[in-house]
Amino acid sequence: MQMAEKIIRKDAPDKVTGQAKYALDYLTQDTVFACAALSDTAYGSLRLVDTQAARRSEGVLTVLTGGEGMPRTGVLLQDRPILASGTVRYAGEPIALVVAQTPEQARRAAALVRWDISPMRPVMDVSEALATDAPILHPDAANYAVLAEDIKPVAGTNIAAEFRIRKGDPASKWAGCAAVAEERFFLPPSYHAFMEPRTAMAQLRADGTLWILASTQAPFTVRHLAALALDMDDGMIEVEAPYVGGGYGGKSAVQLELMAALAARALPGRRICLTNSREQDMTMSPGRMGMRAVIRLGADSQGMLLAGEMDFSVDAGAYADIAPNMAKAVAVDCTGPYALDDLACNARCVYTNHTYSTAYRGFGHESCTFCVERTLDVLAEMLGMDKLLLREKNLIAPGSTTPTQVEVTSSNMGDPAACVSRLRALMDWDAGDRIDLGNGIVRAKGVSCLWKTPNPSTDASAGAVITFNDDGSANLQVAVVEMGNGGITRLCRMVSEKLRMPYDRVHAHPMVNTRVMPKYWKTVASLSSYLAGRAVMDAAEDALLQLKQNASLALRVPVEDLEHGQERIYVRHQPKFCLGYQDLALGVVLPDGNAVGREVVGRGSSVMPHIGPLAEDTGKGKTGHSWTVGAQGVEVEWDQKDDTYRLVNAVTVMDVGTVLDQEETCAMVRGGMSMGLSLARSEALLYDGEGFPLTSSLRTYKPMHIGEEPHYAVELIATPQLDAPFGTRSFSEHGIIGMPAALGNALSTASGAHLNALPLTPESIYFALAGKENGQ
Amino acid sequence: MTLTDLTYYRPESLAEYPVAIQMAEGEPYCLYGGGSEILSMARVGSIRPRALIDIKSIPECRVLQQKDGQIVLGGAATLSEIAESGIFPLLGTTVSRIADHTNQCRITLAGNVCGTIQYREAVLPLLLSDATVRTFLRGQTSDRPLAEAFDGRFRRAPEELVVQFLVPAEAAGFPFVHVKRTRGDKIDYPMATIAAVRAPEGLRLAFSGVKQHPFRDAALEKIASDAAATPSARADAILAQLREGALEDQAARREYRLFVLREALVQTLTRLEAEA
Repeated sequence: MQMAEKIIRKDAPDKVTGQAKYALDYLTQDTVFACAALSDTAYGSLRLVDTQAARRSEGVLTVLTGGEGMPRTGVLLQDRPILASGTVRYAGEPIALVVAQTPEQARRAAALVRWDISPMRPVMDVSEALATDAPILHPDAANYAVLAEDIKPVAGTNIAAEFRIRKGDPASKWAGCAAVAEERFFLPPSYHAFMEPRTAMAQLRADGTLWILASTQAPFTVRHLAALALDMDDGMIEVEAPYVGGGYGGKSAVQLELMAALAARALPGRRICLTNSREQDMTMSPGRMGMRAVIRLGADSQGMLLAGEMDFSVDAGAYADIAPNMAKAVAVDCTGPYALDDLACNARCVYTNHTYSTAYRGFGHESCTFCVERTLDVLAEMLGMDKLLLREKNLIAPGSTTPTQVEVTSSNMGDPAACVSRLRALMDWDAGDRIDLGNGIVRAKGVSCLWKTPNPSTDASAGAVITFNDDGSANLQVAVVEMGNGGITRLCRMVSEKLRMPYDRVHAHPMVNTRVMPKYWKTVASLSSYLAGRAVMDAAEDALLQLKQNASLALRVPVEDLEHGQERIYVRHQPKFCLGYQDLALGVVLPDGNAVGREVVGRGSSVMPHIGPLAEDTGKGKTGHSWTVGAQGVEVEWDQKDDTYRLVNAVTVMDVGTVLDQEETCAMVRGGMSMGLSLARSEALLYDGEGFPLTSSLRTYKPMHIGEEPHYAVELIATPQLDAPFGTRSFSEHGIIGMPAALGNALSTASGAHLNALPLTPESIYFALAGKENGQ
Repeated sequence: MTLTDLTYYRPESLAEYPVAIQMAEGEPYCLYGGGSEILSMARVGSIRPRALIDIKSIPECRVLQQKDGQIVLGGAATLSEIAESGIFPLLGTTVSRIADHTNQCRITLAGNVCGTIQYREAVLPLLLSDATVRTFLRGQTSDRPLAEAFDGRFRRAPEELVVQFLVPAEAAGFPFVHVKRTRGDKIDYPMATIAAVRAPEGLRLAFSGVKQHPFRDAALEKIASDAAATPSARADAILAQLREGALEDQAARREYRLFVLREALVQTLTRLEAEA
């Protein structure tokens, strides 16, 4: 089923004309400005902070610093002081916050803050952090408040959380394997690189309520963490989220909002604005996690996988944020969409002394998929087997179980075999995956399968309200943030489809407001269509019933005899007896002038079904409602003479369930593919020997640009997910997941090197070939 | 750190220039050509000028012409003007690979040669053509060989204005090759840039990105000009000389830089041979 009309996104006119307002556009004449002073030391004892000169500086209203009373925050583990206190743990950590009349005055004063840090040798890599003699970055971890039951820091270590999968008995299967591949991997941390740096505004109002407006994907999380940090009731805090200029998970982290809130409390009545320069966005605020992994896979001579042992260390940086859940997510989906009954996996979240990390598109899957899919290629080589065939043979099918022992069905996973089969055709795989073009140029293809289930909080919920205008058009209130994902547009489509009214007559407001809209967990995890969608459908159903109830009163027939269509409620067996929505939605006026019925307010809600924590010993459990699967490939031209390469083609076949909008869906998938290729090609946050960031601006951190991109091809498979609105599946983030792996595989095939580290630069290929590095 | 509270001076002749210098005396000032370095460095707080002296209205600084067997290149001519004029093809090719087009329309020749950022790629063709630099200091214009003023950096007094570079027209017409290798992007800082010409007496080579600063080296040119050896052999011999001083930095580790440089050298020498 595909919805017929071609529509224009709800946010398109604003964005195309430049009228769209983002957080920083909400400046008022009375706004004052905050600026943070950042640590230039990666790790050390913060002994003294001297704000005297800053306080005396022109226009300064106040200067906040950390210390004993500074609240600690965190979405899972409350390990992070809002301003550095006692110990500085990353270069870029905010030590003080200046508030002044103008941004320039705030910046000048921030540069005048002085401190005394006794530096300690920073821990810059997970292997250092896990060594027995490693300094313990969070010695007090056992005393941190925990917001999720299954997050248990390991005392005396730098491990913030760990998860294990134990399925079957892999140890007993190695001997029977015809081939065993073991590979080591390294992925450095990187940056989300959204167009809009983070921004937050806050004001403590006269009535005691705290108002926050921010470029956030998670306004209700902001509310909750602000309530905890400031010891206020949730209900006394109002959070607004306008259009967000790119989120990718990076704006689900809560940092500037809390800093602005502290400043607001220090200056009651003042409207505080805190915005990141690009450099601050890249060093003070959280980026994407790093990873080290060891993957061991064994198969029989036919290529059937017999055993797997995997070890993942998520490099969370200085503070845990959501990284423990990413370690969990990696464990949950560690194999990829393959059947493997004998499996052991350890996944842990590790502290180090660089900028902390948060969610990023793919939620760890872009990283673990790289590791596992590279190992599959090595295994295929060892067996002398076609790389796509090895994957095809092992694809998980209905009846098998996932790493956490959830049984897969056609509804909860879709059709990976169809994805792989179509990929084979689209890539012309059978023409060969490595062709020498002469003159030192080699054309090569690499593939990767992908899958992902979300890992939301077990209490993640959504609510939606539908009201009507006098003309019978509808208003949808649902707290899905618009960050380029087109979530609200899809939800409006669903309402228009359900209520059989034109999409243009379903209105939504671009600003999310926690005071006004029902709670929605957060706009992450590609869950809007499912979680918010079910609430929206529920609200539409409820609105329809109320419209029919009003009509029943006016037309004097039972509700069961009524149908809806063309924005009317009509009597099924006598269609001429009807009333339009505009005559029903606000109650009905009878011919004698009496008003009956009531104003229609459609209410809907949903929760995630049947999800819970993993069993500590085996990892058995269900963390998400369904998987989305796909197959991806990349074709490159590699130049042997200097190891440079060109991206030629990138292909994705993904089972997205029912397709609501072909173009929009393909565009989102392509966006993910582009992001994954950029990440894999050139992106890494680099630090010097002292832990000081080297790539702290877009001058030195270089995402892929126009001219470097391949030709993209996207094909959609449509196996319905039965419990989702219209049978849709999650797809928004997934285009990224297999791209680094596919590129790594293509270049490894081209060069013969085992390319097990990102980014895949000509230099890294050179060193891998020279045998000097192999996932080190 | 943004730029605020600036005093802006715009001398409209060489005679007015020392007047502007005198008026700005006592405050930190920058000579303002394209301004791209001023903006980058002020942003990170490494400079805090209180005055800008805009030199783009001094006519001598904006000249691009051939006269009396010399090519005269104004210090305040922009990179895109130089490239589009076609007046010195090797220089045009070289500057087209410095920065993106938007910045090429602002960055000036003297700004790049005298800049803080170490690559200074625009100097390479000037070194290769034994250019003369004309400067203005304390009311006096004087010329000296560029090779005397430039030792990797341009040595000048703070108030000395670089007015023009003068290149013998013959030298600007030598067959040339320009090869630039970057980390990935077409427009980026160099891992290695080689500008080379076939002069009557032999090959001349100038390098940027290989060592700390751009340079030309007679000993390397002698190796490069040895027609008896293959390009590969010559490249290896040159590399042996450069190995010690080659940079190790964010763009490339030393060994990889040398690998890239070798390939670039072979290409340069092979193409120059073909030019003959």
